[in-house]
Amino acid sequence: MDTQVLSRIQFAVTAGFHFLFLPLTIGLAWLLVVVEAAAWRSGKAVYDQTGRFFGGILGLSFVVVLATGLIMLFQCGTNWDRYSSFAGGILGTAFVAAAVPGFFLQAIFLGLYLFGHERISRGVRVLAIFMVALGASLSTFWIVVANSWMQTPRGDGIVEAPPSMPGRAQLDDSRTQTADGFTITAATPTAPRRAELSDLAAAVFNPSTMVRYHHTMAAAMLSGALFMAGCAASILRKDAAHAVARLALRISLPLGLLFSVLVAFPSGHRHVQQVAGTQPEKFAAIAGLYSSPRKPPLVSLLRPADPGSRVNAGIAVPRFLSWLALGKVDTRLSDINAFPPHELPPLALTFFAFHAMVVLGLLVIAAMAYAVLLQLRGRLFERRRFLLVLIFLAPLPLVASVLGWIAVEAGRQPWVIHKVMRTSAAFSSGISPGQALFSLILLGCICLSLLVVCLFGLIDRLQHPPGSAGIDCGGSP
Amino acid sequence: MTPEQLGTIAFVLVFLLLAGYAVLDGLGLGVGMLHPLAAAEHQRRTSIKAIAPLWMANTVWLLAAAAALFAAFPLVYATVFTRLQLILTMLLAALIVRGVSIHLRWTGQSAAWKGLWDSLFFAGSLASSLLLGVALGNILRGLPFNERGAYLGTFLGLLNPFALLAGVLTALAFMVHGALYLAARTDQEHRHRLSRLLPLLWLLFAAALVIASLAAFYLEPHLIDGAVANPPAYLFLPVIAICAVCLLPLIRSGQFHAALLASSICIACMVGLVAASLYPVLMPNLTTPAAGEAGLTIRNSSASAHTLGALLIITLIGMPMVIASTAVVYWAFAGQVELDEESH
Repeated sequence: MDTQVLSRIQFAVTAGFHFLFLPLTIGLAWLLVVVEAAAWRSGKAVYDQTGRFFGGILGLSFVVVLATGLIMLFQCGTNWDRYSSFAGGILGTAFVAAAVPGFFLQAIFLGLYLFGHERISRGVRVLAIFMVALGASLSTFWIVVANSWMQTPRGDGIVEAPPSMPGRAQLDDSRTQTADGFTITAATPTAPRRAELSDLAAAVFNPSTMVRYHHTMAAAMLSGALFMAGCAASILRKDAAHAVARLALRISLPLGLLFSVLVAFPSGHRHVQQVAGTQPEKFAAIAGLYSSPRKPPLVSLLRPADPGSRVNAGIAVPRFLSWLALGKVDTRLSDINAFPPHELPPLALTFFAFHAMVVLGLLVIAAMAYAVLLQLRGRLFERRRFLLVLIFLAPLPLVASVLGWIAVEAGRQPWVIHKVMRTSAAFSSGISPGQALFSLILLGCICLSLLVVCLFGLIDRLQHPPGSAGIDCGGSP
Repeated sequence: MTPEQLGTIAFVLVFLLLAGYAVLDGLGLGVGMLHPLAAAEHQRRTSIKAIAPLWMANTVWLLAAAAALFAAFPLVYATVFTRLQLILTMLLAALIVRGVSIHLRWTGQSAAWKGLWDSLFFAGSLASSLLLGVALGNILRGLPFNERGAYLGTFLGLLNPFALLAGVLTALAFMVHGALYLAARTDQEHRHRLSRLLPLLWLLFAAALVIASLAAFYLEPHLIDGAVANPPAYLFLPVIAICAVCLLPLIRSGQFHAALLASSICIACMVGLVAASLYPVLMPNLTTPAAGEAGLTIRNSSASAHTLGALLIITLIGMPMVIASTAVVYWAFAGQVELDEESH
């Protein structure tokens, strides 16, 4: 395998890990703000125990976010040097803004929240966890800005780099040959050119930033809520009267229902509309639009075939797609055949990742509605079988987040920066495949062991919930 | 402001963030490297508890420094990180192992489990410090690349004597720093143990400092030329010497807080001296030092004035918040570390 393939695998694996833990960190932090504020106002020990129990889980998950965040930043330089030197002025600025003050506040106050029990008052504890949640939300905004700029770049000019700039000849090597054998003439940045920031506000608030931020935050809140509900359900199956678990379930389920709806409508819906407007190739891929009748159907099940062939098998709802995408029943959308093959993303991956995400989302909405109904009738804690369902639901929003991330990133291919720079022109030609393999194996093993160790830690915590023997509320080492 | 002035500000910003990282995370890395010397379980718990609330925020300084370099000097970021790919990947692995060990040590109760994370905490801290120093040493020394930007050296070439010396110096500086931090924050028993250890550590550190200075003088004369041309170097050099010398009497008389301050200033000025010997170069080119521009400089590789301006505004708004919060949290955790029944 060559450096490009290895670098892409490494990026996918580490970013996937980042995206598995990031939503959990944000969602849990805001839920803990609710719990800690209630603990402060009521002074009841059960709120306090709930905060400590889930605080320990938040701490572990933040460690993974910090670790994978460092990996993400470093590998831009080590494995994607042409991409970094081309767009660093814009992406780097977003990363600095994510770190200062967002990520800093998150890390500083998480330390205070987790380890400061005996040193700070209840009120300060609420403030600390609030700052963690705020910092997480701020830094997420800037990371979404960086990624959205790669999806829908604005506010930049492609300019000639200063002639004295060394390394331009090296970067020139990147031109013309892509992995799939097409020769690129236009729009592939070769060395002496780079993207320079010309309008910060336009780059930050590019067409996809806000809608994707809403979608990401709603998904994060849902992830946190369902994770908390799943943990509580697993404790309740052993001890139906467990006060901490009952409280956690009472708080997390209504919020879970709220955000499971919000993640689909309006935020998810508006995100799809934005993609239809700004990235028609990606839209055709996620929607499985192989033929373009005047009133496009909603294709929900199909077998994507090679572009150019019409797909017969499938369940399609006529006209529904154009209504969903554009709010009108009578419009024409570009289908896959309207684009040259070398400008299309990998179709099957994009289509299935997107649809699996939607199916999981609908499943979660249904389960949450039923759960809240049970809760209102006061029968939730007796339904042992439904509690088991809640345990299995807990990781689904995280899986859906990763699937959504796959759809969005795979759907942008073959571009790393949409219509500006190809992925095949972005990787470091200066590192050997051996070096790339070494770093892939090392970082892959680290990610995998982090996952194993976190699962171990989680199971250990769930087996010793607060209030039982061998209490370990998390926090202090 | 002229592009050159903005470039200088960004250069200073990158090294300020790096100095912040070295001073703050140097505490944690030093504590980690001294971890095996704490024999009893309660001593190990105390040292981990001293650093656990702070290491996450300290690590973010490195992330911020890297991001600032990425934004302000994209070409330098791409060049340095590609050339030092193996070293930096190993540094990442070591930092992650170090951080995770702190949090996982208490999830299990068995001695084997604790022993595993204790040794990983030590190994991660040691490897992080050495690799950080080796990376900085190589940047100081410069890397061989031709006019096409291709790297001409080998991986073993990165493990040259000067870079290794820089690694050892970094590790020793952090060890002294971490030992002082522990001594300032623990009870009589720990302090007694550490005050027997500290003079030896100080001797090793001072020796490494002298050897590294001589090595720079004889092996890397371009650094001396750079330092002579930049007035701030005239400030950093004597301050490093004074702080390093003052450490010993402060340790002897048990004034650990003052000694900690001195070692912080010393480490910050060491990073400052690195910056002053490089400026205006960020990545010296070993192969053509005489031909015009000596590598990547703030003139030929900085981002657009727009980016540098945005960067300045972001940090002017954000860093005061960061520094204030850091101060508040360090103040909240000031004083002696006490173990309770929850601490494992």
